[in-house]
Amino acid sequence: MPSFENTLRALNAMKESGVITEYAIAGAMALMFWIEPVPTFDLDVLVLLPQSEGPIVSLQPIHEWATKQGYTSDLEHILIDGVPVQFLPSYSNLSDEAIQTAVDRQYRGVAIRVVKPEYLIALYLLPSARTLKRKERAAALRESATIDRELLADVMIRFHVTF
Amino acid sequence: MNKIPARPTDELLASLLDGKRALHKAQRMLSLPEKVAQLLELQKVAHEILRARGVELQPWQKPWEIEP
Repeated sequence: MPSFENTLRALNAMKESGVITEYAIAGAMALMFWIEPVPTFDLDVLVLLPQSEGPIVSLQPIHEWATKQGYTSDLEHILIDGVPVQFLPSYSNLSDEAIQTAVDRQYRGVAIRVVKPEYLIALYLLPSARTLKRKERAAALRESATIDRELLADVMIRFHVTF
Repeated sequence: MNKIPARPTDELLASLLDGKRALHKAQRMLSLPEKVAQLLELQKVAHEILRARGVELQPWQKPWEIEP
């Protein structure tokens, strides 16, 4: 049977292959690392892509890599060991920093990178991403004991994000 | 005759809220594999609710058939 740890192994393999230069788990699945799990049906992964010649970002290399590994994909997701994974190319300075400052965690011995809660809050509260559900998730994170209040304030000020 | 609705005492309310906080804290303290196992159960419940509401689901919006 497919397993979550194999999905995570695939993320590391993708990075080792050079298709992506860095990644960090974000979205609802990242919450699980900091607070309680919430229902979600996909795994969001923020990625930094290798430098390209032109300004247009393409997910084609990721899809080609996935096909070579035998994973199926559609427009939005790649099904990796039973888990629909959505790869989101970093879209702003905030998401760049969220990936670069992600922390290392272990899942059944597999090393993985997860966006810090302070950055998750800021990403949830971006005007373009702001929904009632995401605001609730940001509030739940803010109330958790693992939050670095100084870092949160710093991130929110620098990236002009408010509750 | 007007009936006065029964209300819980402040102590009972405080106790109930304390219980809720303790439950959430216990869930936060679960190991990651335990949280993934919990997520898989939450997915089944959420999927049933969404289907019952008639929400149009994408093919990928279904419980994962994986080992936590």
